[in-house]
Amino acid sequence: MPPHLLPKPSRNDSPALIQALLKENAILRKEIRVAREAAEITASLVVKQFEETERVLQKLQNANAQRKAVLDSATQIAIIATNMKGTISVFNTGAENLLQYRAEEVIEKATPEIFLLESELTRHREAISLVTGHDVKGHEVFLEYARQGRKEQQEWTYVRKDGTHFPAVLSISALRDPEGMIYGFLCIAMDVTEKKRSEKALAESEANYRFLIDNIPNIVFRGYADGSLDLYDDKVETMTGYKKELFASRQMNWFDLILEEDRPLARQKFIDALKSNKSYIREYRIRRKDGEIIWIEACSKIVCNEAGNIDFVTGSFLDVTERKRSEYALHESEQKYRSLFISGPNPIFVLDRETLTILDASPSAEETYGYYKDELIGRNFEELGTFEYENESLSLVESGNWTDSCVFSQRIKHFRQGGEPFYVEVKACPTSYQGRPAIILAASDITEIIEKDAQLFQTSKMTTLGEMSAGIAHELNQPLNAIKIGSDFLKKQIENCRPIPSNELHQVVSAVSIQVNRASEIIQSLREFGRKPDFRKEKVDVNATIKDVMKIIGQQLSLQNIKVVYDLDDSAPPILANKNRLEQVVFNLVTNARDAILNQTRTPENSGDNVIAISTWSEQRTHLNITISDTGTGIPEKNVQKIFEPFYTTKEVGEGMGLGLSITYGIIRDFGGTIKVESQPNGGSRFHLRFPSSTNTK
Amino acid sequence: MKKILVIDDEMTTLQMMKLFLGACGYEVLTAENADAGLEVFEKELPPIVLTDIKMPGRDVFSVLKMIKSIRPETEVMVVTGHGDKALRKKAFDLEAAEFFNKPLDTDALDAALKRIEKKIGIMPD
Repeated sequence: MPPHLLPKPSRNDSPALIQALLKENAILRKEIRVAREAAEITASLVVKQFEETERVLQKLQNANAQRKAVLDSATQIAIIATNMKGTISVFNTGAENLLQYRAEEVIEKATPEIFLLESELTRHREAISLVTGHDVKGHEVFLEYARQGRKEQQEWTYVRKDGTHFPAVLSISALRDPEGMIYGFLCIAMDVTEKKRSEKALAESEANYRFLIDNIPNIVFRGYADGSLDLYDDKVETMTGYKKELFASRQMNWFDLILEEDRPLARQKFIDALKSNKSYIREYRIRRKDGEIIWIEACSKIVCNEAGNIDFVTGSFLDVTERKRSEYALHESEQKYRSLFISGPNPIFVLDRETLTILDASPSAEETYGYYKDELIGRNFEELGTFEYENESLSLVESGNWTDSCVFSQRIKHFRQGGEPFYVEVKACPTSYQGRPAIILAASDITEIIEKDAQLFQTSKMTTLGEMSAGIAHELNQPLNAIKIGSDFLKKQIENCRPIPSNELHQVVSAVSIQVNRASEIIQSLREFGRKPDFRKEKVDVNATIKDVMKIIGQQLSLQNIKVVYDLDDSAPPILANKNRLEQVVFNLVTNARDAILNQTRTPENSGDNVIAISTWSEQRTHLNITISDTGTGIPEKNVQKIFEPFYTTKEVGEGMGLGLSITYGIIRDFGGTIKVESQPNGGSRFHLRFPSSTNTK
Repeated sequence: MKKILVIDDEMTTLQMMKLFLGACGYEVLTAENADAGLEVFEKELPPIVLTDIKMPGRDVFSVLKMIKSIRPETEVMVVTGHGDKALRKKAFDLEAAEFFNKPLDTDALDAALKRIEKKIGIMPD
């Protein structure tokens, strides 16, 4: 009892009363003490309770923050919570990101059905209906899934706000209150587009890989220390004749297939690889089941474990028998050509196709040109002499305009070391040398042939000159005769002391002067004709050449009552030739024409004029034509083909060597020309020459 | 005045012959070819003819024959550039008086002319 509630003590109180009071007082004091203690305990309990509440509150706040953090941090995971009606109560940042809706657009306003395809929903509803035995409608499908506690993830097609789809795996959980009652469900969806893409890529890559393994000629293997061999396809059977299982089960050991003599090297390669970068390529022969020996190229990599021991060896086998065979053939062929290059009698050069720099030269080239190989290599081929192509122009080489055919050139003047000239005939073909476009060029020394040719030509000319000598003598005697008579007249008058009238004196000295000129001209043409041949080519005026020849033999022809008819085209272009040699051609053809006329027996029916007709004409300025026709005996058809052959002659033994037309033919061909003959017995012959004009030839 | 016919296809030779034979005292007739020569011969009938052996057109021997047939006593001298013995014989067979090579030896010509003159009895002026 609280003190103030105690009865007020009086004067009459007896000691008993006092006693009682004291007793009561003591009880009260005790009660007070107990009460105070109780109050103290209660207060501390309240404080504790309060503190506990605070702690719980704090925890709750933390949990909420955590929950929010979880929801927010899952930016690529859509977390959607609903109540029992399916209305969305939570829509996290991930859901916003993936589905393109704002949280406030859907919370309390929509159900998760709007993010899904109706067709899929229907299918799930039907499936779950079968399980539950009653119709599942609308969002109930989620509840049913949640209720069943189906944790396995299912793939759904999600629809974004813009209508686009993406695949997602969805897990649905029930939300339960502390009593375990379901008050909603939670959908967690993850976008698996990337995952699906990688899965697809992986599948494709695997398929490709498989395809590759199946289709490359290489056999992919993995070999183990115990000698077993894993093979990934059946190609090994085609290659060796043994089934792959035999290798996997160690019934067959690959190394045993290798020919005994090839094993040491193969083993060495392996050991070397082990010491270095662990990979190796080795070639060896194996014996197939059927006994045939084939070449294998094995590219392998040794794979070691962490301890540094060999784990396995992987790589591929390839049948390289064909390649080996071609390599061998190539090697043989190279050896063959190499020996030709080294021991061939003709100099051979390898030139850069662009610059014509010498890349290689054969020993014969060293010998012929008098330079050491080192001196030749790096030098420009054109330094060895004029590289003038006759028929084919060098520009063909320069322009790189090669066809399959080779370029051929006759008579190039080259110089040995020290400047001694010699002639070569060149044949050049495109090739490649050390990987770059090159020309392989063979140069045959034809100096001797040229010299022989020159001698023959000279002999032939001298023969012609011999034949012509009577005519020439006559030709020279004409002016000499006039000079002689004129000067003898002067002498006679002077000796007889007779005066010489100035007009007569003038007449004589003029005649002397003119006749001396005439004689010199004849001598000049003779000298030119008799000159040693020179194969240089220059622009030659064909008409002038014909006229020069006729200066020497024209007189003789008229003596023999042969009329020469000219029809020369003044505008004819020059040709690239050698005047002296062209003269020889005209000479030969005209003297042949003369002989054909002189050999003809004249009968009363056949009493026409003896005519040699010479004409020239230009053909579009690219070609020049010459015809020399006669009214002579003609050539029997059977002989027409033979007339250009050497030593063919219709003349009596001793009259001619039969080289005239053969030489003529050679000369014409040298100038890039052609010669054709039309002839009929007793109908005369017509020789037609055609040359490219100098503007047409390089 | 004694006449001489010279036949040669060389104009210069004809000119020189004309001067030379003129200096020898002849009236010199000239012709550039055989036909012209025959024409002049028929017209003038010179006692002496000097002809070149080669001539475009007609064969010199037929000229020789024709001259001889027109006037047999005509003295015909033949000049040739060849010096061919066969020709020389043929010319003599056709009664040529002389045969000369070119270049003409004028002393021999002088001598021949003198001999012919003596033979046919004419004297130059």
